Amino acid sequence: MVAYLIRRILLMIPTIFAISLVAFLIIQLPPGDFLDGMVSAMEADGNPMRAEMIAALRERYGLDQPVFVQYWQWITGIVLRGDFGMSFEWRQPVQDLIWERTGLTFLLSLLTLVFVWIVSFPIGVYSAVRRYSVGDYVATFLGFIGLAIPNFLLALVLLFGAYKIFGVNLAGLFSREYENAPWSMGKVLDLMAHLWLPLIVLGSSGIASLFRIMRANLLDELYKPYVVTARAKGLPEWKLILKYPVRVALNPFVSTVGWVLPDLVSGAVITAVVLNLPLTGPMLLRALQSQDMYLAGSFILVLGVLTVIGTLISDILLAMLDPRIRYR
Amino acid sequence: MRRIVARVAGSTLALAGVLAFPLAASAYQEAPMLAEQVAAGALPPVDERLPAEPLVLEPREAVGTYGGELTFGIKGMADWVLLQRTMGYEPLVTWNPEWDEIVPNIAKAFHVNEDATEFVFELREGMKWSDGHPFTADDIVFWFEDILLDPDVSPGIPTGMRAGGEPPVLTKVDDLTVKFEFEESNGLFLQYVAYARGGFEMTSFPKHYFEQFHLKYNENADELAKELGFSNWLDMFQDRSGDYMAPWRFRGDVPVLLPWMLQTGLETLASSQQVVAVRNPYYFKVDPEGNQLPYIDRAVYASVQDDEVLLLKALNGEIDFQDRNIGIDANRAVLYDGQEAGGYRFYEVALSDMNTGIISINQTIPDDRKREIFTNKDFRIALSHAINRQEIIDIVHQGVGEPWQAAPRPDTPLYSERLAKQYTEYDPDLANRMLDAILPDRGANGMRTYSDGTPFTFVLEASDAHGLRFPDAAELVVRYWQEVGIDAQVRVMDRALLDQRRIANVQDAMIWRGFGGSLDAIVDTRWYVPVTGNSNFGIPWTQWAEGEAGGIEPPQSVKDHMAMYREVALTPTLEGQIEKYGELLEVSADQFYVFGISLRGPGFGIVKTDLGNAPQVVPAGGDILDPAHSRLEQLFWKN
Repeated sequence: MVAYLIRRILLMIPTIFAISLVAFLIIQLPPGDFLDGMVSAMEADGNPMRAEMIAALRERYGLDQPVFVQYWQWITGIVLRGDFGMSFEWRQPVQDLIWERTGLTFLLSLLTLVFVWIVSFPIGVYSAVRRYSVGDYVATFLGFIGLAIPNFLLALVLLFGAYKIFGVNLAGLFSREYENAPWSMGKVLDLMAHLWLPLIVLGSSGIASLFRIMRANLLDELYKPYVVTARAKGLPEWKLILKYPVRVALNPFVSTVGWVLPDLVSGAVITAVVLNLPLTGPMLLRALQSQDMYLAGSFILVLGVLTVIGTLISDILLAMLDPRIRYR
Repeated sequence: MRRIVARVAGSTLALAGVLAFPLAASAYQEAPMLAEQVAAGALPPVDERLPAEPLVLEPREAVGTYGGELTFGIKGMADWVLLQRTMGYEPLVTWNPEWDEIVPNIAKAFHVNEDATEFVFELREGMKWSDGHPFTADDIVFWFEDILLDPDVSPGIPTGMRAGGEPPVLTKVDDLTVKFEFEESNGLFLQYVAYARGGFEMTSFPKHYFEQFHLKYNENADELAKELGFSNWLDMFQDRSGDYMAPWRFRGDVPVLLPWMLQTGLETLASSQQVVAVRNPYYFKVDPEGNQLPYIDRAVYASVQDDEVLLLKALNGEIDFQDRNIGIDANRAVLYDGQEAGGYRFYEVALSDMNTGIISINQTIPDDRKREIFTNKDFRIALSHAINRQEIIDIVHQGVGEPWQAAPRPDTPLYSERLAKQYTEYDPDLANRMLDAILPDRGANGMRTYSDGTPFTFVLEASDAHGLRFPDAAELVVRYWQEVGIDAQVRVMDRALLDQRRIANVQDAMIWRGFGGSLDAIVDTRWYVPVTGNSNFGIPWTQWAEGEAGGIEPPQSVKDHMAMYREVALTPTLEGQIEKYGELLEVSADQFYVFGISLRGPGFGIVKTDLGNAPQVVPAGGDILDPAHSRLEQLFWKN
């Protein structure tokens, strides 16, 4: 077990290195760089830039260096000094920018996960036990709709519906009066009043897929001999189902924990943009669009590291559960 | 009684629109929120904060009342220009709201000599930055000597600041007077000061704030730089002054001369959902009754990440006065329907754009055989006649507009019917006849070939920028060309790549925005005469004129045309410049460098109905800072 763990952790190092390299190179692939975009936007707004200035800026930002030199400076800064570089657009250190938005992102991801679990668990159990009942069909129908509608579209429809019917704008996480206010009871309540919409939108597809998996796994178990035996021995039906087949079928719930980590950073980029949520996703999207490469590269690197760690955790859990994996 | 009388300059450019009126002694009034601070001893009284001769702004409708907030929707840090365009326009002299005259602003008067080589600006006695520190000629001298002329701090001198290739000499006549002296005439200098870039640089560098970052004034600047995490003072100074581009005034701690001042820097949008600017207690403008402006207490910039969310905010009445990112054609119908519920009305944005797309054929293309065709004026005329402009208007632009070449808009003093309308009629037969004289041979597919049978093809490059649907228009254009046997293709690409290609002079043809359709044609000359680096039909010609690398000597007719522009720059008055530029445009019509598609329709913005002194029409364009030049400091809430 220990040897397996060490091997896995050692393997993470080249993986993360490769992720950082690829991330950095992919960001540089589109033609032009951050300054090109900036300059043409400035020109359209009546602020033309002189060629000398552009050249000086390119030098100052290190954009005149070959890609590999830029990469080397970035990665050594991270490894040696924990410095992820400066964001060109925000003109602030990248790590500050990412941290500032992590809190709310973490909260929302966690709440969404809990919401998904709470809703999909009973529905999954119910629709497996009462297979082909009216309730099962209704849940399945809604589930497929939830799976099929892209989150951002659902968000737009709900936003527009709320505006049309109730005349309110539900975008954002806070009302205007609480926007810049310090934390207080009122602000927390205000946050809760705004939070349900992103929860529903972000949770919709998760609920749909998780309850379908739950249903399928449970159906596999329900007709196995041990269930029949238990029933024959006279266990009460609900106690029987919850104690034996449900426990076995619970695997997908546990394995979603591993996916949560990267979701914390990238979580629902487009949905967050549409709902105007101050999360990390929209910032990542904008950084990619404007080729703000240190910000974008650091985001992707962090994402990659979190994915690798998440995979490691689920591998360890699996190895503990299943001895065959350990010795392969 | 004390009379506030603005001195009228006795030069050719007299200032206008200033009233003389009586005032009770020490009778300026201020906003309640400032009166509280004065009562608490945190601020000096209003009479001491205002300059001796404040600018008296005649309101559009009525004298207003104090209070309230003005909310805009901003798309993150990258959208900082919104601040510049709403609260950031206070140059020495400014355009009037109608955009047809330059009037005094921070300078209470200005004088220009006969041959437009000397420009004198008189500042206001007792005028102060937003922190109460006096604003004097020293601030302008600081900007000029330690920023503009220092090649380490800001490399290169902008064209508008040069005459005969040289920057002017700036003299501090006294504490309140500065004089710019050019070696040659620079008749466009006042316009340069009044437009976007030139003006706000001069009045945005408070010396008493920035000198702490400059080694010349602070011998410990290098240590300060290390403390703040920079490698040396220059790095720090460049960062604090915004790397020549970013909004240094919008950092939050920099004193300003603007109506509102930011409480926190724009960069805090990274973690918060809005930035707020409060009234500047030292703002130098009053209304005719002596009330210090602005009327509105706070300007709020709410962060939105998506245009649809911005639209929703507008529909919901959360946006008070804005066209940026809202006034696009796709939003027009839904916003129109939502007017009553949202409590807003439309205002017209009279864009200076004169076209929905200018097609430029590269007349300096390196390929010799192609260049011979491309430089043939009849070839370009034939291509222009081959385009069915009405169909493009109907399909792409919802039927708005009329066939139009690269020419100033009809309601401007520079309008020339010949330039606007020549060769716009759809006549494929004529086009075919003209092309038969140039490229008579055709290949097996019916497309025209060179005389040796090799196919004649070229690419029209387009980028989906500015919301003008260039790729759609380009697709239609090449289809019309193919009908007259010209094998042209569209290539849609990213704007950055398009930019790289045109600067490298490798593009055959491209479609781009019709800038400069109003008075700004005089400064944005790109489609009329190739004197700046944006004339995509002959960028190397302008490089030749500037003596830059990569230049190609233009034909004599183009050289003569370029010389005509120098004549415009030698003219001191706006009227004279308009006349000279009109003559230049006639030659543009003869040269027919580029051709256009259709006249761009007016844009729109939304404004809350109970916002007083709001304009009905805002002249707009790339160079002028709309809607700020319509004087947002006079807006007020009626209820």
